[in-house]
This record gives sequence, structure tokens and C-alpha cells, in this order.
Amino acid sequence: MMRNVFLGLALCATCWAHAGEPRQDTAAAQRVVAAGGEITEIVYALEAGDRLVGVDTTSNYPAEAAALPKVGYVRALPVEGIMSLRPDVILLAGEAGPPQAVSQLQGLARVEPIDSRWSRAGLFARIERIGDVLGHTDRARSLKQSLQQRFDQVDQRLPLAAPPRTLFLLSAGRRGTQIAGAETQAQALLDDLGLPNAADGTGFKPVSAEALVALDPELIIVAETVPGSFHRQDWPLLEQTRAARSGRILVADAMLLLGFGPRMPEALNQVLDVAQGQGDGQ
Amino acid sequence: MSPDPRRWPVAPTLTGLALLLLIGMVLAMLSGPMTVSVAQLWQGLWSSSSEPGYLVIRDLRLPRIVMGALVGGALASTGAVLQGLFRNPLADPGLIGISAGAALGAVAVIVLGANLAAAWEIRLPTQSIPVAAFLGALVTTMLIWRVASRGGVTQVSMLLLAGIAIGAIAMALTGLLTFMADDHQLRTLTFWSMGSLAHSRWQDVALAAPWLLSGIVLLPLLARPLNALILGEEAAVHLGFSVPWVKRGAILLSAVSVGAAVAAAGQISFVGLMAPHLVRLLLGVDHRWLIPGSAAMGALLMVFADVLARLLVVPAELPIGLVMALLGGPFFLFLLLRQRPL
Amino acid sequence: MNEPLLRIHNLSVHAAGRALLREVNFSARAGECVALLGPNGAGKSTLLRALSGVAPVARDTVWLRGRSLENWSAGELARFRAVMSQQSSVAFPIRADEVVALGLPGRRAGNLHDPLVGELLEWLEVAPLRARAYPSLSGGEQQRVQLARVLAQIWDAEGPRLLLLDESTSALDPAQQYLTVEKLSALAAGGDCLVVLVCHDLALAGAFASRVLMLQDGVLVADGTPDKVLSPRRLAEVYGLDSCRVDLDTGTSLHIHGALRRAPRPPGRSPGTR
Repeated sequence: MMRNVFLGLALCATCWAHAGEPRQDTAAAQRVVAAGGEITEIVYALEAGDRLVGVDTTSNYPAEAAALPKVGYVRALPVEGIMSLRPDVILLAGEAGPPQAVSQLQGLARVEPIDSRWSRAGLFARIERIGDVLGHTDRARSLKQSLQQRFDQVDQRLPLAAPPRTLFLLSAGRRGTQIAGAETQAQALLDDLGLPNAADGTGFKPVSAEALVALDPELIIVAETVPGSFHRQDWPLLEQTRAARSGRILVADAMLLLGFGPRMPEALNQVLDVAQGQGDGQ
Repeated sequence: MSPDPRRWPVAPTLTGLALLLLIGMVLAMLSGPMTVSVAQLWQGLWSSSSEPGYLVIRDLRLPRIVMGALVGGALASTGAVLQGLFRNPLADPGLIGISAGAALGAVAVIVLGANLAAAWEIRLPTQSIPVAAFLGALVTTMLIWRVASRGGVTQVSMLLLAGIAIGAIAMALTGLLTFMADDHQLRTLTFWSMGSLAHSRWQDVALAAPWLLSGIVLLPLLARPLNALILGEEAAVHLGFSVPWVKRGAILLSAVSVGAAVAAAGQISFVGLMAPHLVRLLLGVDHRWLIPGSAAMGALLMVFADVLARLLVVPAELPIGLVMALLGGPFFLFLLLRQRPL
Repeated sequence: MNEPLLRIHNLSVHAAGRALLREVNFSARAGECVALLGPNGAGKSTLLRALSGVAPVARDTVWLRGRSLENWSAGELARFRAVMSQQSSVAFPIRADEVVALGLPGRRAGNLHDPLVGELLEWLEVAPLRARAYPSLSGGEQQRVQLARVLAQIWDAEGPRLLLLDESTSALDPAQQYLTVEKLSALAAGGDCLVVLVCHDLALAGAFASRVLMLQDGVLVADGTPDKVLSPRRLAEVYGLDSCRVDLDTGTSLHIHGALRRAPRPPGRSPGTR
């Protein structure tokens, strides 16, 4: 029995020996940890992706981000794990947590809370702040300008003559599909385009197939947290809705639709394309 | 026929366990995603410098290791005592509703807390989840105790049945709250239920330590009557022990210390089962040595699991409850298979 | 005369509206070895449970050392009264000597190195088993280990002691049964110990008890020396046994032919069922 305990301790000691050599800090804001997928996207959009030394698990775009060390889920950040990446700055999304971890991180390193409003203004504020932190104020300005142009193009398509009643689904597989109500990023997206939400209630709620038919939405948007997790054949009753009959179903990546990052105009355009019946989002 | 039980000498074994715990804690201080040398550790413990390296030692690792050892010690002592009380080596705090009650309390605050606070226009205190878990454990345990007591007599078998029934109700209510939870709350309660020491700060240690220590220090006082209980409840009465008081003491102290453990670190299984089992293999069933030995063993297991939790997926971190279950399950199975029951 | 160690005064015990014991009266002194006899359900175990404090009794019905039972604390009683009940399961894979050590009084409890542990195991002829796991012992071995445990509790006690045994030798082989009961009766005869033994073996009781109490339907129907109580007439009345007394060179002996009542035929299969 003692032998097992000794083995365990020996294992511990080995892990410790392999944990790496200490290195000295270099110039400021070169090593960046981003907690929040939209923050990571902005860092890449500012062409500073090479400064990222760690990201959270919601950071899955662009593809390069996948190769970075993952510090875990944005709401359950490990303090020492992040500190071991020796960051010059930690960019935290609004939902980053838990609060104890955030306060501990603040005592240990430079922590930048990033604006978390789900809106165009929030996006611009995020880009501006991250640009300042990274010393890329100019790139931030030009990114904002190009985004503004694309938003203007979106706005030319608005307002819609007859905005379709929209049902927004968040899909994480067959059993994990939820309806988005008020006070969600999904609602913020619908609001931006002036689309009425077919569902009432707040937050994300589990969906029942019958409720889909009863609500009879004219447009269905499915945000997949895992790409390819939504299968139309799993929802035969879906075909009874007006949205399905008129081919107005959009299935897209959740981070694209709900991230409110630099891809927001693209998200808005995709929704509008389907809403105006200019193509099936499948 | 089973082999004759072997016993290790008591004093050297207990001393050895204590030393192992000490060494384990020092090694745990040295291990983690950030590299720390022995010299740095020594300075970090005593210097008041606010350099990140020292802060990591003083304000991150030390409190969580202390918390881990206390939680492990309390869970393992409680396991040893409840196994003695129920006269069953597989008894654990879940049997008397402590875990289910704590979970209900915590989940209620996670899901309803923000709304209630908004309705009453108060700010939710930061410690409300652990406090609710603690109260949930106490209330559920007392409820089970009331149900199982008739005319001043508390039957252990009734305690068990009431525990199962009320535990199931608490779990159903927890399920209901889980259903009502939104995405964010779901994530919070999932992480809470997996158990974690990651965010133990000194103020958390200060809040939980008195309750955890009360279990570790006071539970060994029940050793002699629990020894008599090995022979059965009647035999314990004939040997001159007041069995009702033993039950009351054991249940109350267990509820307090496990409630505090769940509040501090979430749900952590197997320590309460594994540590007493290991110590029984070494020292036998004499609760005078079994309870303190289990405390040391539980603390050691917990500190070890925490090191793995910090190192396995660097720079992220696994919940310690998960590590303990991943380690404990197979290990326990191995022990059971090797040691065929009589 | 000073107060007897054990005095039962008008003891009645009821459970679920049924009288288990009716107005039992007797006293016994240290030095006696009392066998408690009677058919199944006569109230033997109930009486023993009442004496050991497990079954609740009315005030002033059971007196120990001249003090009513309810005025004794469990701790005080444990110092001079030891009880061995019928079933004695052990929860953990504990060793035989550990079981005995658990019986040691006060702070000595659990001390394996206490010389008394070895002496008692030796006395009851189970010393070679001391390191064995208790659950792995045979029924008879377990009973002797438990007996050693019970004896350890009051072995060194001051003043008159009371030993209550409920069928404590039932699993022993006949020779061991006689050997063990003989030791107990010698212990009682030593002077300061009263042994009360519930027993089913009439011959065993007749051979070693100094006194026999016969219970029938909760009533104490006979109280006296084995010779007086175990008469063929009474055995026929109480047990329905066909017996006779045989005079031998060594004394009289009880010979049992069998039951008086003819055994009913085994139930036949009712027609139509298979």
C-alpha cells in the first residue's frame, strides 16, 4: 500500500521536474492571453495573432487559434495556468470568471476587461480597446472603417418590408437544442436587423418539437456550437413550419452568429440573405 | 478463506502518514504550471514581496493546498466514522443526505440567487454559494434524522431509508432547478458539481477551516464507542456506551464537516471511501487510529489529486472532483478485486 | 441477609398487546449458575433482554445489587454486568483477539497487548485462532471468541458480577459445549459471579446448573435445583416430552424418549394443483 503512495509522490515529483524552466519577462504587451472567442478574432483581425500565447476554449476562429494552448472554459479560468504562460496582458471578455479567479489574476498581472455589449457599438469599443492595448491604434482605426462600410451596406438592405417572425435555435446536438429568448446574444442579433423573435421568455430554454410547429416561425436560424451538429432530419415537424416551406432556414456557426466579433457584418448578411429568400442557408 | 488480517505497528505508521502528508504538501507547493524552485518556495513563504512568483506561492498554491488537505481530512474522517456507525465499509456521507442537501443549496443559489437578490434589491454576498451548500447539508441531514427517529430512538436502518428517500427528493428538486437554469447557470453548476479547489483564497480557507477542523479534531473522540459498535448496537450498550449520543454526535459532526467540505470544494467523491479503506488495510479497524489515520490519508490523496488536476492539462485545469473520481474509481475497483470479500 | 445480586419483582413485559412475561418473581445471588429453560416463545430471551436492559421494563421490577435497574447508568452497569446476545455479527474483517480486546473495560478497551486477552482465549481454547479474521471462524469458534470478549468485560471487576448468556454455546459441538459450560459453572461456583444462561439443552442444564428456572407462556412455572425442576411430569407438561429418570451408579440421569404428541403427517398435495 505504501508503495502505491510512494509511486504517486514520485510521479508528482517527475511532473514538477518537467514543468519547464523559468524565463525572464521581455517587453510589454508582447505575450497576450485572450479569454473570449470574439477577442481572439479581433486580435487576429488586427494581425497580432502571433502575440497570443493562450486562448480559452470558445476561441475556435480563425483556424490558427486552434493550435494555441487552451486555458479552459472562459467561465472557469485557471489562475496559475494562465500565469504560467507569463502573459504581459490578459484580455477578459465580460463573461470571464469565476470572480475569484478574475480578482486573483488582477493581483498578479495586467488584466484588461473588454467591452462585452452585444452590439455594433460594443464591437467598435472592443476593437478600439484591444488596438490600444496591443499598440495597434492605426490598424484598429482602419478595421473599424472597413467594418463601418460593410455595416452601411447591410443597412442599405434595411429595413425589411415584411420582417419575418424568427425562431433562433442554439444547437449542441440532438438533445442539446435550445430556443433563444430575450436577453440573449441571439435577441441582440435579431434586434440589429429588426426581426421579431417568435419565441417569448428570456434566456435559452430547451425546445420541444411541437412548440416549433405551434410557433410557426417564418424564419429559423440555427446556431451550431459544434459545426455539423444540427440535422434537419432529426426534426421532421420542422418541415411543417412556414420557414421550411419557403426555404428560410439558416444553419451557421454559433461563434459567427453570436460572437459580435469582426465577422458580424458577414453574420448579418447571411441572415438577411435567408430572410429575403435569396438562398437557402443550408 | 481470506488471509489473516495483518496489522502494521500503529505509532510508526501514523507518524509515517503524517510525514508523507508533509512531504506531499511541500512537493505540491513546488509543482504546478509555473516553475518554482525550493529556494523560491522558501523565500515566497516568508517574504511579503508582491512579485508574481511569490504571490503564486503564497496566495494561490498555499491556500489551495491547505484547503485541499483540510477538505480531504474532513471527508476521510467522516467516511471512517459513518462507516463505523452504519457498520458498513461502503457507507458515505451521501447516505445521510449531506451531499444531496449541499447540492440543492448550492444549485438553488446559482439558479435563483440572482433573481431573488434583484427582487429584494440586495447584492448577493460572494460567499453565498458555499454558505447555501453548508446550510442545505445541515437542513437535509436534520430532516432525515427527524424522519428516522421515533420516540427518541433512531434506527440506523431507518436513517438509511430516510436518507435514500429525502436524498432522492433533494436530487429531484436539484434537477428541477437545473431545468430552470439558463446557459450560464448550467455551466456554473456543472463546474460546481465537478468540484474544484482552484479558487480557494485565504478568506475561503478562513471561512471553511473552523468547520472542517471541528470534524477532524472532534470525530476521533467517538473512537471508543464506534469500536464497541463493531460488535453491534446492543453490545455497545452492554459495554456501557450511550449509543443515541454517539449517533447524534456522529451525524451532527459529519453534517457540519462534510457540509463545509462540499461548500468549499464542491462534490468530491471517493476520498471518504478510499482513505478509510486504505488505513483499515494498514492498521485494522480500531477507530482510535483509523480516524486520525484516515484524516492524514484523505489529506494526502486530496493534495496528490490536486497536483494532478493542475498538471494534467496545463495551462488549463481539471476539476479535482473529476480527477479524484478518475483515480479513485479504478483504484477502488482494483482493491475490491484483489481483496475478495469473505 | 444482605441484598441479592439480582432480584426480579413482579416483572411483566408486554409487546404489541401480548404478554411476553407475567409477574415473574425470583432472586439470585453471586455464586449461582442459573439455567433459564422453556419451550420456544416461553419468554426466556425476553427475560434475559429485560435483565440486560434492552427491553424496557416497569420501574422497580428489576433490581441489581439492591438498586433498581433504571437508576443505573449504562457505564456503571458495564462494570459488573456483561451480556452475550444470540446473534453477534461483526461489521469489519476484525481479528479474533481484537474482538476480545474490545470487551476490555474502560481505557483498556482495544488494547491487544493486555494479558487478559491471551489468558481468556487460552482458557476457552481458542488461543491458536487469535490472529484469524473473526468472520472466517466457524460458528462455534465465533461463540467462544465472543464469550471471551464478554468475560473480559467483567473479569477484573470489583464486587459481585453478573453474566447473562443467551444460548451462547448453541453452535459448539457437544464436547465443547459441556467443557465450556463446566468452566462457566466453575466460574460461578468461585463465589462472586452469577451466571444466567438461556439454554435449550435439558441434559446440559441438568448437568451444570445449580438452579433451573422453567418458563412457560411467560409464567415462571418452576424454580429449583435441576433434580426438582427437570421431572418427567413437568417436562411432559411444559415441553410435551416423553421422558423418564434412570438411576445409574453415578446418580440419576434424565432419559428422553421423544415427543408425546405424534408428529403429524407431512401436508399432502391438494388435488388439482401441480
